[in-house]
Amino acid sequence: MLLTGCEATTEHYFDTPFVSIADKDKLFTTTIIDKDANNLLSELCVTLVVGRDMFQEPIMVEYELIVGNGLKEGVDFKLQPSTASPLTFTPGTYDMPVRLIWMKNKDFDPSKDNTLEVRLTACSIPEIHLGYLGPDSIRKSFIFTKK
Amino acid sequence: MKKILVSFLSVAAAFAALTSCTKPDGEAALKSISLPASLNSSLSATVNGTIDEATKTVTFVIPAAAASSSFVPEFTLTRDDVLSVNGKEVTSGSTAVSLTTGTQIVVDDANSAMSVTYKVTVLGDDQSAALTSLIIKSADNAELISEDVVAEISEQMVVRVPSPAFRQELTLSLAATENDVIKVNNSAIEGGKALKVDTSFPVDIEVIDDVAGKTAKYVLKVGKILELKCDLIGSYTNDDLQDYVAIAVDEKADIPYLVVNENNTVEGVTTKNYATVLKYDGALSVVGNNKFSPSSATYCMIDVLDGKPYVAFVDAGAPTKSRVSCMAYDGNWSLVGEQGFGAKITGLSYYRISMILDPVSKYPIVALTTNEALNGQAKRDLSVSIFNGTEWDANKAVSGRTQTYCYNEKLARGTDKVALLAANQNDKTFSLYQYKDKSWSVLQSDLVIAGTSDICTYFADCEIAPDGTIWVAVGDNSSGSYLCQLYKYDGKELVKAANPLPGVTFNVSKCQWDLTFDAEGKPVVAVISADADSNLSAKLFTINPETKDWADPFDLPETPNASYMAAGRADNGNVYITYSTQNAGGKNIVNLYKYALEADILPE
Repeated sequence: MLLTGCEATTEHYFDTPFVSIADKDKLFTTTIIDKDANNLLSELCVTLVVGRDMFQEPIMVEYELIVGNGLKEGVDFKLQPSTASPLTFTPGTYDMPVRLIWMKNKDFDPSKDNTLEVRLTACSIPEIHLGYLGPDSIRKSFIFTKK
Repeated sequence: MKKILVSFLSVAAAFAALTSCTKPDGEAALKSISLPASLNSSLSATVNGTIDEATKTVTFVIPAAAASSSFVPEFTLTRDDVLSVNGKEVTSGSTAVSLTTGTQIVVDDANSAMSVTYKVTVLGDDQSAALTSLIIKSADNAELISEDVVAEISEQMVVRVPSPAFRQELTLSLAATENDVIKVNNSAIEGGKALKVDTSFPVDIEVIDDVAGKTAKYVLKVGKILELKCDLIGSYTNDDLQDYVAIAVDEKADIPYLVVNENNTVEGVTTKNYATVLKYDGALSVVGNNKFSPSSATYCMIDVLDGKPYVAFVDAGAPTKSRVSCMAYDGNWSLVGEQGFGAKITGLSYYRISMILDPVSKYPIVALTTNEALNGQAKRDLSVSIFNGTEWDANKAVSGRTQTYCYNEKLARGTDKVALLAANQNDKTFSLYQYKDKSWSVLQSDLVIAGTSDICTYFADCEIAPDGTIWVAVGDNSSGSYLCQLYKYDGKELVKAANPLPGVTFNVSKCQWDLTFDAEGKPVVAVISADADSNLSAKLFTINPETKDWADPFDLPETPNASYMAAGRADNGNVYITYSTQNAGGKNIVNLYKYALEADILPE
């Protein structure tokens, strides 16, 4: 008779700090932008989850814009300069916006890659994980698709 | 022996006395200073001074609420020092001194010439970081804003600017509480102004008070002052469509209904002017089946309550010709009462009919000018028929009416009453009646427009405003050519409410107007008028009742091809206007316009 023992219950503490990105309401990580939309504002929220001990000085979070070959900054969209990378979180500030305005492009080509990815790339405190914890690091990026 | 001991002790004492002159410590410095709450009643908590030896300054952060500038300090100095303020020696914990910015604290070493002077800085701590004002000043934003735009301060602020300033870079003027630094979009401002702020995005504002150790954050959204716009929202056309159109709006549902005429061809025989009803619910669509009338249906009038449209018309298919029939849609189009009721009408173009739904019973009331003497009524006089749910109580006179020879009539519905305007051709007057609680009353028997040699009776319109006031738009030639005049009933009589529509004279065979009310309840008149060459145009006039001035009309873009103009409003203030145009091929098109506040535009 093979006796197998159960593993003892182990406690996991989710105390690893992380930073994530999602829509303004923190519900989604993708969205579709109507190709005919003009002057449409999109607002993302970059959220820092960190303990007070680690947050005695400003924390900088960098992100990059990965623009598909069908989109062009200044033509299809523009980024609010004050929300450009890097975002500086002063102690006590846990949410910061990234804002874009979408513009109608009369030369829009649906056959091209019309995605815009906003991806977190670095943090001034290396211990802060980019995206949710876990191998997939979800909420490390937000993807717009114009169609 | 005793003598020697005394001598030795004397020498020792003398030696001790000589060596008690203290060596200077080489320092004169303030090591600490505070203003204890226990010694200073104006302070709720002890205030510790911050000493900067490099700059020789001492900074006190004193609550703004502390009214006094006189304090008793406690302090420590390097050895053998004396502290004085304004030349007066200060004893720690005992002497009161005046401390304000610029006060000098002098520390002298008692055993040397060393002396240090510290300058005092007093920072008032208001315990607050808050924005106190935000203004977009016209002086700073010339050509974009003519009047200052003042924001109501809150964490999420919305202001509205006129169209030229919308989504532009604007200069903002900001003020905050004491000691605060204001940042706009992460940049600290200078001189209370943030220059060239891109307001197409929300504006992030941060107020920081390092003295109080507080921060406040705000977001400003700059929207557009919304304007009333008239936009084409739907069109209907086909080869059978005629140019006639009338409108009614389901006020609660904000759905306009149109009645139009279409030719009907059966086995090669075409009969004109069958009735079709359209409704707009995002697009124009036919209600039930088109061409639903039994036969030719002219001078169609429509009204709708609770989604049930009624249409009254001169029915060529009635058992007795030239009588009115009424139909309603309740899943199917069916007759309301008998086909062809009441007196005959002339069928002439200027003798039209009017139909409205009683707001209480929700059944139709029809008013017309008769072409036969019936039930004691004279020929060519005003006749009213009221449906009671089962049958028409037809062809009745309006109780109290004394005039004869009505040329035109118009019914209007309020929330609890019906108004009826009659144009009396014989004596050139207008009469106004009210139907309420199942009885008629005379509001005004004989409105005479001074100087009128002939009233224009073709289009006398009557409407009841959202506030219950009865308005009429009547035509007269007191100025020598037909003009549209606006009157309102003030409870006793019809009083002139506006100057004539400017720049518009009416060719009686080509023109028409329809009165309704905008979102604010002010009169709006939709007009088809003709110039000297009989070229038609469609316009929308709005008015300020206080000034009696008409604003510049809104020119509806499409050129009318006939003189049928109709307008109606919903409870939410949306106004709908309809008239027909013609395409290059001569096909009639019925257009529907919406006059309403443009959709809100905020950067969000």
